[in-house]
Amino acid sequence: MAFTLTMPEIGETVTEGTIEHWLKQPGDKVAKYEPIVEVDTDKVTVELPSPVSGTLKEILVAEGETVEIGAQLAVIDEVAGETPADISLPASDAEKATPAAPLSSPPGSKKSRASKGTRRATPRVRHLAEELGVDLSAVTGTGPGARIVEDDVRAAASGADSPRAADEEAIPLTGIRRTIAQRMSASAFSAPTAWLAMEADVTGLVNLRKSERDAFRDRHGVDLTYLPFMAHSVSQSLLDHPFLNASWGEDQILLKKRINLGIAVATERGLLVPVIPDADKLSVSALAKAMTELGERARANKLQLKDVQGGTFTLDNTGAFGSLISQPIINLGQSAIITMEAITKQPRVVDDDAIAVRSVVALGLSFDHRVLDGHQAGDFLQDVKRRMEAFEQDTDFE
Amino acid sequence: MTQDTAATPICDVRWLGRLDYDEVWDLQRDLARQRAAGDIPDTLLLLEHEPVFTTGRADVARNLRVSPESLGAPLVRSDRGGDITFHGPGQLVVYPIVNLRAAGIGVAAYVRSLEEVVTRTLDRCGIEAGLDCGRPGVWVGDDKIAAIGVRVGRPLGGSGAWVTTHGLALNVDVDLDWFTKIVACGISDRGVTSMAHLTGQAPAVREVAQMISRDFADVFRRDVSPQTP
Repeated sequence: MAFTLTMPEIGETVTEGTIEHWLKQPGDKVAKYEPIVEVDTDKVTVELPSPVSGTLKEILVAEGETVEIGAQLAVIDEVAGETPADISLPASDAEKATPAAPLSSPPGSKKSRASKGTRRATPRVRHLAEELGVDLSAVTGTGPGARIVEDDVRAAASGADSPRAADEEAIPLTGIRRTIAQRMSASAFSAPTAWLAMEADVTGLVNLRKSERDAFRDRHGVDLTYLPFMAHSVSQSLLDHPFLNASWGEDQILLKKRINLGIAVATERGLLVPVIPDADKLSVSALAKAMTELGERARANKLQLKDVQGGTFTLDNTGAFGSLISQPIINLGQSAIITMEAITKQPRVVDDDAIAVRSVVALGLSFDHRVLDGHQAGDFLQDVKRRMEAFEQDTDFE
Repeated sequence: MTQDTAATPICDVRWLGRLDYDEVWDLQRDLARQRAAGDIPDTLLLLEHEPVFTTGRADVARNLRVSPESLGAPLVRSDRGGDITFHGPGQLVVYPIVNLRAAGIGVAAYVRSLEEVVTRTLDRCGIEAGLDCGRPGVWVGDDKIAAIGVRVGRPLGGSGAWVTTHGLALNVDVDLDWFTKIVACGISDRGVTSMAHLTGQAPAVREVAQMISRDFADVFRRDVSPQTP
């Protein structure tokens, strides 16, 4: 009696498999449950046993061919009178309730970011969903790669994730959004943050940049902005104010020996803070090149992990979007963050009590009051201000 | 430690140190038979290999960048899924011997769960890793940090047990030069990275083994046996 071996179900999202290797050839005897063929699915080789005893009569699918579940693989001349064994590897009921879901993409790929209603979940989470009576197909995953995590299931169970109103849209969190959220919350809710701001008269700097901008682009191929001047002033000032280049360690304060300056960069994916290592050892011109390069890589989504790690102090260029004054949140693991606001022309009283049109900018500093006090922060900010005001049209910044 | 095994299955965790590939392969087959017979619980083998290149059944030659003689380490044709890869010192190798039928999961969910385990361990070390549509393994940016290759067999046929062998390899502080000799996993446009390469320093392989056994227990809902590595 001829028995036809078909491709069994071997996993909840597996729809096909590649015949990798026939362990038996036509004419070979095969015992019930004896491995007969190896099938390759994504990264998994599955050994299929024969459901019946008998003789392998004919192989219907050659090695290397890919077939769908249910496809006929071989004909076995079976010994009469036995019940074929079930050789499928059925998914549990919980898994059957969670149909195929898109896999996540690598960090940066936009493909999976927009995917909604993904149903990926680990066995543990599935089990929890079963216990709490939550239908995973109705849960939006907030874990890495939009996977459903325990919190999502609990939130769904408590009704927090009840069916959304038609005038709302749920955006699944991306990895970077989640990281920003966690770090900002951790910083904001742990560091008692104090804030102060000073105004710097940067008329000299504005003149310097105006006269050097074209020549600089010719020499170095990058646009000369105000930010590298600020980065230079900050890095040099940090040398004299170690508590600004430090972190809070619960029972100690950690002073950082290197000055690794993080630069906040807005990207399509969200805020990124690439780091310029040893920024205090670089000239304005070298900083300009480093920042241009990091900014381009950040926006092109080409930063490596090492590019965003190890920062000891952060510079936030809030003036880039026109802010006059802002109160940034300290980057987690650092003791302070400085902003450079927008440079504007303002009437100001100058030395001989005359009123003149000057270019001014606000510099804002948020600092962790556990690590340092206002006078230290003020001294530091005074130094930065003094350096920014010292740039003149003929300053050599190479 | 007495446990209600029906509620939370036990998983034995064994740290094996550094071993030859063949030796562990034999051990896995032996353990898989014992697992199918119900003589042992699911078992997690944690180890390092001596330098070795291994392949699945896929065509080997096209994924070698140098001749087999100049690889500098043995080339073993394994019986796992997946393509060519390298194992060696500084890489944590994890071989879960798991009865999938008892665990109630299929092969795809199993692979996804392995990826989740690695992602969690990397997260503890401050590395944000991700997955890639259609490309198993765990990635950091465009570089692969953990490779996955699994075999599912029925060592005792009629017992109904589907038991996994092989598993995953996580690059902790492995010499990445080895990977320049192959097209790792048959993917030519991607690189390979390690925890040490990404962070400048990595925990010892054995420390990572401890972390990963905890995350494995968590993801697979297991009570790990007292003999954690």
